Order: sequence, then C-alpha cells, then structure tokens
Amino acid sequence: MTTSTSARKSLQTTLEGPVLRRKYYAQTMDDSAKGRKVAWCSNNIPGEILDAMGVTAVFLENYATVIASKRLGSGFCAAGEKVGFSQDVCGYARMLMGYVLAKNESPEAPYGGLAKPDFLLVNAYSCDSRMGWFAAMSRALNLPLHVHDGLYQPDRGDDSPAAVAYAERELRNLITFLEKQTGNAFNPEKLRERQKLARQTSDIMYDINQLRKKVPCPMGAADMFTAVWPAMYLAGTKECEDFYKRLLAEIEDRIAKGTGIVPEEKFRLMWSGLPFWYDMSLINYVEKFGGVVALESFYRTRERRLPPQDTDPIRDMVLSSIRQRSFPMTISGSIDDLVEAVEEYKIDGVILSFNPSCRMLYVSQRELQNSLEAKGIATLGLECDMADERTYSEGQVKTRLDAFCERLLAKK
Amino acid sequence: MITAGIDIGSSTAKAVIFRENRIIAHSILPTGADSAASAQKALDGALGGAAGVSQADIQYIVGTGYGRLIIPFATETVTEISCHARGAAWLFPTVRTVVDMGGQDCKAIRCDGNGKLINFAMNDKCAAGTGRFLELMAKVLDLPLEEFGRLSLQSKNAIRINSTCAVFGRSEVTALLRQGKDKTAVIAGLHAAVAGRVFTLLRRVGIQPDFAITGGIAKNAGVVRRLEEMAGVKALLPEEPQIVGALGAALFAQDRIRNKIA
Amino acid sequence: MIKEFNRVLANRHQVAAEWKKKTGGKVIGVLCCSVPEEIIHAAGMLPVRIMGAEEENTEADLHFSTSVCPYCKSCFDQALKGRYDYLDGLVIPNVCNMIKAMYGFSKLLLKIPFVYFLEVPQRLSENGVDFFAGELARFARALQVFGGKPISGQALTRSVSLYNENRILLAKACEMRQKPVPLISGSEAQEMVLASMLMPKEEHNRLLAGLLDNIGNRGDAPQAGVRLFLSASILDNTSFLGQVEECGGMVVADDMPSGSRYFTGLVNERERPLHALADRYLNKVACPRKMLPEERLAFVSAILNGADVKGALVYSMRACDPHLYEYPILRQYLGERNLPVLFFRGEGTEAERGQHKADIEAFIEVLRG
Repeated sequence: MTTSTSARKSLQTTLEGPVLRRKYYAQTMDDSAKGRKVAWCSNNIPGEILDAMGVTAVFLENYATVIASKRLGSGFCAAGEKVGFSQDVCGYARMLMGYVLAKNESPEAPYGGLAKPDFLLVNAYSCDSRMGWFAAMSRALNLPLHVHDGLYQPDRGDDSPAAVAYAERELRNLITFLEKQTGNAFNPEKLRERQKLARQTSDIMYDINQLRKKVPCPMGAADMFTAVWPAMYLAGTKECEDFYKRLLAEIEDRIAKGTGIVPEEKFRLMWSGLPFWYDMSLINYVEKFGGVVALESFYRTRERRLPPQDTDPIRDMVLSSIRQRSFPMTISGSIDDLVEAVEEYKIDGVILSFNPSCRMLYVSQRELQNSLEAKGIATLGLECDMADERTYSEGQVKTRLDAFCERLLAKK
Repeated sequence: MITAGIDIGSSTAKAVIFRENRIIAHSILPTGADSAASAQKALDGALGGAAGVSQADIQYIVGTGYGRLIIPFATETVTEISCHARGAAWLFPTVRTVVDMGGQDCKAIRCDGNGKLINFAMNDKCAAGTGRFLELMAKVLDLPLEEFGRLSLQSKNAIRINSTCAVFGRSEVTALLRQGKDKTAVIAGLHAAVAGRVFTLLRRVGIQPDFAITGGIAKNAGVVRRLEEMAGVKALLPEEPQIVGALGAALFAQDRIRNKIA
Repeated sequence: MIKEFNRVLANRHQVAAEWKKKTGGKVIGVLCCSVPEEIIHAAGMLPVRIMGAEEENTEADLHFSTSVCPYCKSCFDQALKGRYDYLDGLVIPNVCNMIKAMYGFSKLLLKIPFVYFLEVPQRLSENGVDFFAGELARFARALQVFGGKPISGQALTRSVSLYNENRILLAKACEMRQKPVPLISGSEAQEMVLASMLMPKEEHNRLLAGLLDNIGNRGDAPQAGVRLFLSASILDNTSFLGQVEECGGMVVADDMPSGSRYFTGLVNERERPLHALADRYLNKVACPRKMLPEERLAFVSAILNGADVKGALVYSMRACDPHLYEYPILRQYLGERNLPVLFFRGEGTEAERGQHKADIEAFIEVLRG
C-alpha cells in the first residue's frame, strides 16, 4: 500500500509550481471578494484575453486534477453520479457536478472551494464533455454561459479568409460578451504584451524539451506533469517566464554535472495520455528497475513559436493557432508524433494510458498502441480513469508495469 | 541445485520444486483467505512429494502470481506473465505464443525460444472471457465444471450467446432455457463466446506458432478446440497446465543462481 | 409498401451496389444527419447513411477499446469486413469526438477513395450559418472535382426541393402513428426513415406517396399500445422499438436521428440554396452536441405538444457523451410535463434485450395502472 501518491520530483524548481498554483487559487478568492468578475472556464478559453479584460479565470479542469491528486476524486464523482451524470462521462465533469449540485454528498473541497463564478465560458471545439458539462452547470447555477467556437481542421491549418473570419468573429464575440458582463473595455495592448511574453515562455519550454532528450534524462515526466502548470494557466506573465528560466537553468546545470533521474539509466519510457492523478508515484515506479519516464505526450512543446502573424492581436491569435498546431488531430498525426518522439528522445517503450472517460484521447489509444508495436516499439496499456480512484487497481497496474519492465530488461 | 517456484493465484496456490532440469514435485491448493499461509502450505505440499528434500535445501525461491509480494520466504518475485512464458517454453521449446486463463484474468503472451517475454496483453477488468465466467455459467446450468467443456462439444449447433458479461450472460442463459432451447447448444454457445473473447486478446499480440494454453482452462476441451479452430493452429497442452507459472518461477530461480556463479 | 422499406433496410448493401451498377454513379457514405445530402444528390451521387450490424465487432475490436460509441464501432467493423467495399466516398462532419475520429481512422485503415471532413460549426450562431454556407460551397467544389462534373445551381435547387418533399411526406407518414388507432407502428415509422437514408429520394418519395394513399385500406394495422415518447442516440435498427411494441407500448413521438431529427425542418427554398442548407442543417438538426439544453428542449417541446403520450423512454448509447450529459436535464423537463421516464444506457446488442424487455414491461404496467 502506497503512503504518498505524489510523484517524486528531481528538480527543485518544480516544487515551486504547486506554490504558484496555490497562490493563484487564493488570488481568485481575493479577486472575487474585491468585486472582480470571475469566470469558470474550460481549458481552451484564452486566459490572455480574460486577463486583458480584467476578468479572473478559474479553469475547472485544473481544479479537478487538484481534487483527484488529493484522492478525493471518487467522492466527488459519486456525488455527480447521484445527481444523474453517467459513469461513462468525464471524471472531471462528474466531480465538478458533484461539487456544484451535491455539496452535501461531496467531500470537503480543496482550497476551501472555488471562487464564486459570475459567468461561465466554454469552448465548443475539442471535447464533447465540456459542452454538456458547462451547459448543465450554467443551468444549475443559473448563470450566463458563453460558448466559444473555433475550427477543428483535422488535417493541417487552413488559413483561408473564410476560416480566419469565422475564428476571428468567434473571438470578438467572446470579447463582446466579456465587455457586457464586466462593463470593461477590451485592452488590445495588454493582450499584445501577454502574447509577447507567452511566446517567449513557449520558446523556453521548447528549449527545455530539447534538453530532455539528453542521456541521462535531466528532467522527466514526473517533474513536467507538475512543472507545466504555470505555462498552462499563467501564460504571458513575468512570473511564468521567470519560473521557466529558472527551470531551464537547473536543467542545464544537471546536464553539466551528468545528473539524471536514477543512478544508472537502463531504459527510457514515454507516457502517452493523461496520468492517473490520484497516484502520480506510478511515474516513478519504473525507477526501481533503472527506468525513467523521460517524456509525456501531452505537454510536449514541439516547436518554436511562429513570430506574430498580424499586428492586430486577435488576428494574430487566430492565424497563429491555425498555422501552428500544438497537438495532432488525426490518428495518423498522433502516430507520427509519437514515433518522432520515440526516435528523438531515445525511448525504449511507451506506456499508454487508457482513460475511458476522457473520450477524446481514449478513442485513439488502441490504434496508437497497435502502430507502435508494429514498428517494433514496446508498449504497455494501462486502463483506469484519470480522476476517479475507484477504477484503480494498484496490484493489477503494478503487475503490468513489472511485466513490462521485465520485458524491456530481457530485450537489452 | 534445487530451486522452487511459488505461484499464488486468486483461486489456487501452486508450488514446483525443481532439481537438475526436472520437476521433482509439485502441489496445487486453494488459496483461501490467507495468501501467506497458503504459500507455505503449497510449498509444504510439494516438499511432501519430494523425498529427502527439506525447505532448507532449496537454494533460491521465486514467487509469482497475484499474491507474490506477500510470500514470506521468496527470495525474489517475478510476474506470472514472464513465468508463464518461461515455463511454457521449457515444456515446449517451439512455443512462441501462450494463452493463460486463470480464474480471474486472461493473458496472451508472446515469447521467444528461450521463453523471453516479447509482448503481452491482459484482460483483468471483468469476468468476460475468464474461467470465472464459465464457473458461474456451470452453476447457473447446474452442471459440474469438469464436464462443462466436454458437453459443449456434443452439440453441432451453438446458439449464439451475445454477452460474456457475467451479469447479462446469466439472464440470457436462463431466458434461452425458458424458451426451451437445447441445453448442450447453449453450453456450446457459451464456450464459443469465451473462446471468441480469448481469440480477440490473442490477436492483439499476434499468434505465432507454436501456440500453448496454460492455466485451468487447458483442461476445458470446449474452449481449447474452439480456440484451435479460430487460430488455425493446434494447441500444445501441458500435462499439468496449472503449474506452468510456478515452473517458470523455479526456472528463473535457477537462472539467478547460474548468473551468480558465472 | 411497408414491406419494401424493410427490404431496403435488410438489403442495404445490395440496394446501393445495384444502383451503382444501373447508373454508373458514385455512392457516398455519411455518418450523421448533419451532412447536407442534397449536395451529394445534386452531384448525381447516392448518399447512404452508414449503419452497423448486430455482430461481434471482431475486426473493430482490434482497433478500438470498449468504451467507445457502439454505433461507430459497429460501422467501422462492417467496413473492415468489406461490407462497404462499394463506397466511393465518405463524408464525416465535425460533430462528436467519435465521429471526428472516424475521419482519421477511415483514411488510415480503409480504402475509400474520397474521405471528406466537413467543418460544421459546433454552436448555433449567425456567424456559424455564414461560415457553414462557405464550407458547403467548398464541399460542393470537392465533390465536383471527385465526380468530374459540375453541380449546377439548378440541380441543387431541384435536390433541395426533392428532399423537402421527402421531409414533408415522412412527417405525414409518421403522424400515422399518432392516430388513436395507429395506422403505422413506431417501428414501421423508424424503418421508413432508415430506408430513406439508404435509397434514392425519388423512389422513396414514390413509396411514401403510395403508402399515404393506401394506408387507410391497410388490413394489417398495428395494435394500439401505450403511447410513448422516445429520445435516443442513433438506433440503426428497429429492434428496440419492436421490443417496445411486443411489450404493449408504442413510440408515437420521437426525438432521434433515425426518426424526427432526420426530417424536421424544411430547407428554405426562397433563399440561396447553400445558405438555406447551412441554416437548416445547423439550426434544425437537434443534436445535443451542438445545441444547448434550451435549444434542444424547444424541439422536444414541439414534439410532445399534441402527441398525447403517457410516458417517456430515453435511450442513450453507451459512451454517447452528448446524450448522457443531457439526460438529467431532459429527465427533469419530462418530469415537469408529468411524464414518467425510463432510461437506458445501451449498446444496441441482442444481449441487453432480455433485461430491457423486463424493464419496459414493468414500465408499461405502471403506465397502464
């Protein structure tokens, strides 16, 4: 029986991440008390725009991971199920519906709960769950919901005038909604500043990810799953950029000293998909065999950012996101992406996380696994919900990991 | 050199004592509530059949199976996946694919000529396609489990059973019987359904001959025959299919000693 | 006439292959009601709704895990088994996660020459209609290139008119379920809709017109059952509705893709066709993925008004997130209309039927009593 479920981090800087996160949540409560408008958001809502409008953003999916990492996920999920949300649906959604609709049935909420929202913002593209979930919350809380749409464009970015016009109008609609809700005017200068910093930070992340290719690996997934937080939620701030500058410096130092994650690195793994937030120590589990999880598929910064695509910051946002995809959108794209990572990071095996309730990612995992094995890359599939620890069978998961490591060591 | 392998499964505990390339004794017992105690009982049972050998004579013991971590006297543990590959390959040097169906899970394993683990796929999430399902169905039909497989081969017309979910399966079977359907046809259908699930698992790792079946299910002619038909290869069947894991463990124990000497 | 719909449904692949042979035209599969079939029709091609079958998904199981849309999985299984080898093209709209994924999977694993992703907006807005009209123009251009011949404005207008006629006739035919003594059953109505998705609209219109003319003389009219409303994910065969009838109920009003969602809402023939199509397909196809609950409930409300039902069935496919999220809201709304609700989260397999039967029987008993 594990006592601690956090991942063991190798870098000092990583430990600052949760501190920043805690501070952020405290700040949202403070903002709310001071009368700033609070928006509950889905992950793809552009935080930079909210900041430029003086709106405080609370990203619910992140709060769900906080709940899950404290092993409270099942309690909240069960509450969400009690009010009618199927076990099939996203664990994060069930948890937050439990929190919103069934507080009496739910465990005590971390950080004293969330800042009260004034309105909700959801992006319609990407995952089905977000739409259903935010619509249900909007009705339950009787608060306005703005749905922000974007382009899917599975193949590659198509920046034809019609597509750009649609995406741009959607962003401007979002701004109009925010102007109405807050009475504030949109400040394009502020947005431009944030974007500039966000680009710089992203490039630092790119450098960090390039350095992770080194042998021995100076920073693995155990760190990055935590250290990615500022880039996701504080993008475009000085605080965020400074954090990654320090992280980069620490990595460079480790490389200079030849410091890895384990004393003798015997094999390198990659983690595809979401981790099991309620037992992040699993990422360290293979270390007892001399293995490291060097890389994760989800948060990898793959390229340097394109320079600004337009002087108007909104058009720039639209054109940049069309012309530079951060994430593959088809099964072939995902396969190529993984294979490329395996080669560049000298990966010996890939652990694929199958989270049935995260449908968007789950759909592809089996075929990803098939494709990797067909290319002679060793894989292991682990099926558990990413947030609901009732689905976790520690013995079974560790048996599979043991067998996978036995397989990898037998190969060498 | 004497080594031993102990395999603590969810339903049975097995022990194999191995000396100079021979199994000299083995035992199979129900696991019961206390895995650690069953491990000792299993070892004692095997020792009972090994004249002149005591626990102190055993130079290395490898534990495997679901309960491997709580075997108090195991020197080391290795997963049952690797152990089944190793054990099957020792019994049948030409084997390259192994299917092990225990009480609660089902594994498809690919290995090389030395029993080295190449790939595996497991179903341990639900009873579908496991021994547990057939046990439950035998009870529903009020038949001895030992006869179940044989009976399934008596009917040429298998009724298609659509669910291997133990929950749905029970209601489906009782409904079919109430409709007056032939009992052996229903049993044939059940076995076809189970074999189908196992076959899907096997296809995930690919079937390379030769192909062996281990675990209790190897004694079920109904599943074995159908799997052979689906896979298009004849299955190699150990005489004692339940002890293959423990055998593999004993062999790993031997490897460890040899590596230390080398 | 009714038997003809059944024949088409049961022999769908033959029907399409025969059409191909006879006309030399191309058959284009569609995976969802959000695809404007009129454009495909105007290109001289035959749009057919892809449907699954009640078989073990032995092939698709190798490529997809368990907790995915059973409909898509079954469709893909059929394709992998070669049942859809006659398809020249496949159009996949931007709707739910599983259907979106079918785009990449089809290109990777199937040998269909023309696989097209239609970028449908994922919320209702003015912005969306304009954009979607532009997308439909792109789609039409791509079909022209693939087909090697132009799609004239006239042809498109004709197709729109033909499809509207089909919608009107289907609506009229489905009304026959609602008569105090029903002239067609719920499952027959569903069959008619499904058949419409599988055959040339000209023929289907003829059959429907003939049916409406003669339905009064029908000797084998169905038994009246307890009147029910059904809201469902895609049900691509009539087993569930047939089972409801066996248990003494009948679905006389529906909200589902193989029912009213297919034909509700006419395309405005006074408007430019592409814009009118964009408007209808975006705003009138009541899919919970892109419509918010208020928007959806407006449709449900219209369906229920005048339907005089005693109870409601809600059938969500397993892993069908849009329907599963909507369910608590729908259930509450139905409760406000004093309708008892029976919920199913199903896989569309034979296996669940036994349990479903028991639940439906009990529900109907309660409604009767």
